[in-house]
Amino acid sequence: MPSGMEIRELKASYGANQVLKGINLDVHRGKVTALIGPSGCGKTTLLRCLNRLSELTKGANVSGHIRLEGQEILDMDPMLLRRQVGMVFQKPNPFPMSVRENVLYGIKAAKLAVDQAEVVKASLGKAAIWDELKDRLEDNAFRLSVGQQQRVCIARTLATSPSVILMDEPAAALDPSSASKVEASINSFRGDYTVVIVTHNMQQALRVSDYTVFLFLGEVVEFGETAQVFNDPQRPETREYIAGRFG
Amino acid sequence: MRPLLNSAVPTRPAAPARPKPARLAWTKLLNAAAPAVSLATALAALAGACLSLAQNTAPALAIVELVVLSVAQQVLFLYIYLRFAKWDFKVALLALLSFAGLVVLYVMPEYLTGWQFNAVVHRSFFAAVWLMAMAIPAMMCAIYYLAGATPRAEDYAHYPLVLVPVGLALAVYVVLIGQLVLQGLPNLTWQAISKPYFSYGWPIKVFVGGDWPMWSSELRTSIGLLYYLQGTGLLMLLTAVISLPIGVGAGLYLSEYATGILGSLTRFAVTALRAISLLILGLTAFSLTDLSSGTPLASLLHGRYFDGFVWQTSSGGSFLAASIVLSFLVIPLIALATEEGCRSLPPELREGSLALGASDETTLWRIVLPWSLPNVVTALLLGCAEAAGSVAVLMFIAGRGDYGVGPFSQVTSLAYAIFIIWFGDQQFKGSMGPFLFTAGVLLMIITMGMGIAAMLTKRWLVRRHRGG
Repeated sequence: MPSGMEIRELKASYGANQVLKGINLDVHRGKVTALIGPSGCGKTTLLRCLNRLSELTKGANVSGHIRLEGQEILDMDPMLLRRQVGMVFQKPNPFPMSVRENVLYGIKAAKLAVDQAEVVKASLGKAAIWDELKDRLEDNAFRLSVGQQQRVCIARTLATSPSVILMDEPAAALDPSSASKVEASINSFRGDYTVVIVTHNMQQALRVSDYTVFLFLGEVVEFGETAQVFNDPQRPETREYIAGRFG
Repeated sequence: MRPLLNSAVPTRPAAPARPKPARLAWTKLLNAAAPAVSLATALAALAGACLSLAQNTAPALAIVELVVLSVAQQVLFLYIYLRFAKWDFKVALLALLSFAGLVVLYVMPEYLTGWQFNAVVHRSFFAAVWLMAMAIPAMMCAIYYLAGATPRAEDYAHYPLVLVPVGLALAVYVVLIGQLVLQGLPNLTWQAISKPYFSYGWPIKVFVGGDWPMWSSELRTSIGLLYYLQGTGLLMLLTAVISLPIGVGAGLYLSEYATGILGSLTRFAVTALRAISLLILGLTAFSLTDLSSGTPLASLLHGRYFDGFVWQTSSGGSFLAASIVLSFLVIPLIALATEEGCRSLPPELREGSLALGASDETTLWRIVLPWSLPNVVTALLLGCAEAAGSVAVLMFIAGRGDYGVGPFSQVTSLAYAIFIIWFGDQQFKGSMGPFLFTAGVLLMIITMGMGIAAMLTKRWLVRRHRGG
């Protein structure tokens, strides 16, 4: 079941460096929200705050409110949070185990009682890689191509049935064919999962997302439905960025 | 200046008639002659140097070789001038030094002592050193010119500088192992490894005149290396069992949790253990055994044996005591290897595991430890090999292994057996003397076997747990 998130006055800093300066945002349930903006504007930091991976970095300081269906994230057990909020990274990071063990990792870690074979099939299917790998489930995931590895990582994240999926430029390191398969999967998640995707590629944001957030220098400059943000941007910075005047 | 000798490559633009192939071949041969001869004399000089070291040969051989070498260098010098139109003074210097060497050799008496020397300078040794010192540069120059004096030829010319020392080192290695095997192999029989050594009196009942039983004792003896083999194996096993959990734990602590003063202290303690002299560890083992006499710990730390009537406690140490002290040596190996393995884990794997909602503990067991397994197993096997070969740690508490091998029997091993075959009492020497080198061969097989096993296991584990 998808969940919505509310972000209020989120501030994040690493040491002396203030990266997020007060983010106010609503992530709508069951929709795909894209975070766009130039490099260094805090997109990845914002994403990592949503599943509290930001805390792993030394000197990280996060304050504010992030609510997942009313529950305050910053008070939750991070482990339980991350079972509901999954993440796919820019560089595919499969574990050096078989494909099956990769997909089942989250389930075994949480000790969930499920039909493992079913879960593997369903997750790999939703990640659009079941047909390619159905005979190769025992192969070591390191031996797959980069595109296949990324889809296995997506399947792995789906296996625990999270309510929110965070994606940090999932198709950036992939060849066009794999990238389009990943985008097709994201489109299929609509309704079943809430997706927040960071992307540098504005065309990808247009293809894939329902809502778009434009971040600049650690603040939300514009937020709205994708069509409206791209065709009729309200703020001059948004207009400049979309026109490609800076990146 | 124009070269005066014909070069194999024409120096002018293509002449109307090309030289016939037969003539080209001859020219190439002539061009190769001088450096080839120089190379041959240099190789001969190298052989002569080795021979001089091995035997006390008359100086005639060395002097002849130096003459030939000097002449070859002079010919080479002229050849270089004729073909490449330059003076190569290195070659000239070599010719001069060879000549100087042979003059010194001719004049030098068999031994030199006195004056400021406080040692004997042996003529053969001088010949060997001088020939070696001449041979290597001569080879380098010869190869350079044989290969055409191009920049690439310079690369080839450096090969002798590397290959000669490596070759000599390998030769020494082969000789050492060879003499061990040659002396030990003849006595390596099935009898030798399937039977133990013991020599003790065993009580037996004898019936003397009617039904009166009396206790007498019969001498039971056997000659062989079995208990030493078993002892070596048990020592390796016990040391592994004790060091593995402590070593892995220390390594994990150092890489995952250690911060500040406690971390630095732990790291220092772990590293410093390896710096302790092995004899000090031997004394530690002795203290462990000695201080526990008369306490309940004695049944664990002293060697115990059954003499036919009761269980006796010897004054020597048990396998357990020896393994405890040997662990001091092996734990740092395993700890540092574990730490290195954990640090080499790509951070994205750790992040990926945490992002899926796994606890730190799950991440440790399923991601971090399997990743560092190759390092851990290699260190363990090498540590065991070290335990197998150690004598200094055992020598104050070990025994002949008369009564068999077990965790609470007196400690003994192949290495210790070698030690006491040499230094032990006459009776032992008499019966076990022939097995001195045989025990050495067995020990070498065990330690080299562990080394090879370590290498192969690491490769297999990397393929399995790191997808390599």
